Amino acid sequence: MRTKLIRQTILEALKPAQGYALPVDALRMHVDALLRPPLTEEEWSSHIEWLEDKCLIVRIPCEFDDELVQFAITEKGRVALRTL
Amino acid sequence: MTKRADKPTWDKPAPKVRADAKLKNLPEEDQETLWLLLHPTDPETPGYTLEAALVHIQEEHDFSVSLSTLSEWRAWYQLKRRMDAARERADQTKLELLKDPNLSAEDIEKVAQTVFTAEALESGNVKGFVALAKLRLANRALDHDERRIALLEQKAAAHDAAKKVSDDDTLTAEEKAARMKQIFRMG
Repeated sequence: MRTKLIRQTILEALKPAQGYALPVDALRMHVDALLRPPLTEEEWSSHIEWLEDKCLIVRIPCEFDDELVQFAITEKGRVALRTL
Repeated sequence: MTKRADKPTWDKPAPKVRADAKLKNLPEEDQETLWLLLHPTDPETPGYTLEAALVHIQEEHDFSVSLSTLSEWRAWYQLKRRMDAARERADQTKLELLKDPNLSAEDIEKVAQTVFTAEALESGNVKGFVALAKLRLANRALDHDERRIALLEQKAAAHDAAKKVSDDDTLTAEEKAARMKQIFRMG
């Protein structure tokens, strides 16, 4: 089981954005680059959902593309990452 | 001690120091040096192999890491560098837009986020995205103005109608009050 590692990696990938939201494709690419083996679709969806539910990440609408999903780390997410 | 209800829980307790933390906790200039050794900016200079970089870490920082840890750090640092660059561009845009008195703080945040998004996507068309975002904001402002004008027209028409009712001597006070309520949709 690599639940903790996946959640930690998603948060870590968002952390350098410092409040800006990262497009989901870019986020996924970065997370896949950091994890071996890369995430399955099921892993990705379930962990993103968990992080959103716990308010550790937040979905931000895109100004130029309504279909573009973006995520930003929240203050709670930053704290969670620091206390791991 | 009771556990806080809203504290996120993970599968296992986290170790105090992660395997890759040693590299990530190096001073920024040391991490940049390590990156440049692996990816020199001068095309004539050959980059270090991962194995050579491991030797550099041992010699310069007096600790050793595994090849996979170094490889993971490299992927993470590449992401960090790109995000840093995107953030810098977005922050720079914010500073530029602050000079424009027609833009609200919210609009500026939106455009800055657009710059960050475009940079993060490495689209190479940041200007295009920003222009599009500004156009959207302008269209929204236009929609807002149109709605405001429509409301003002509606209000003016209601006041004209109210004045007619008020000036109509054939109506009783009760009838006038009922008509007024109708005009202003109060009842």
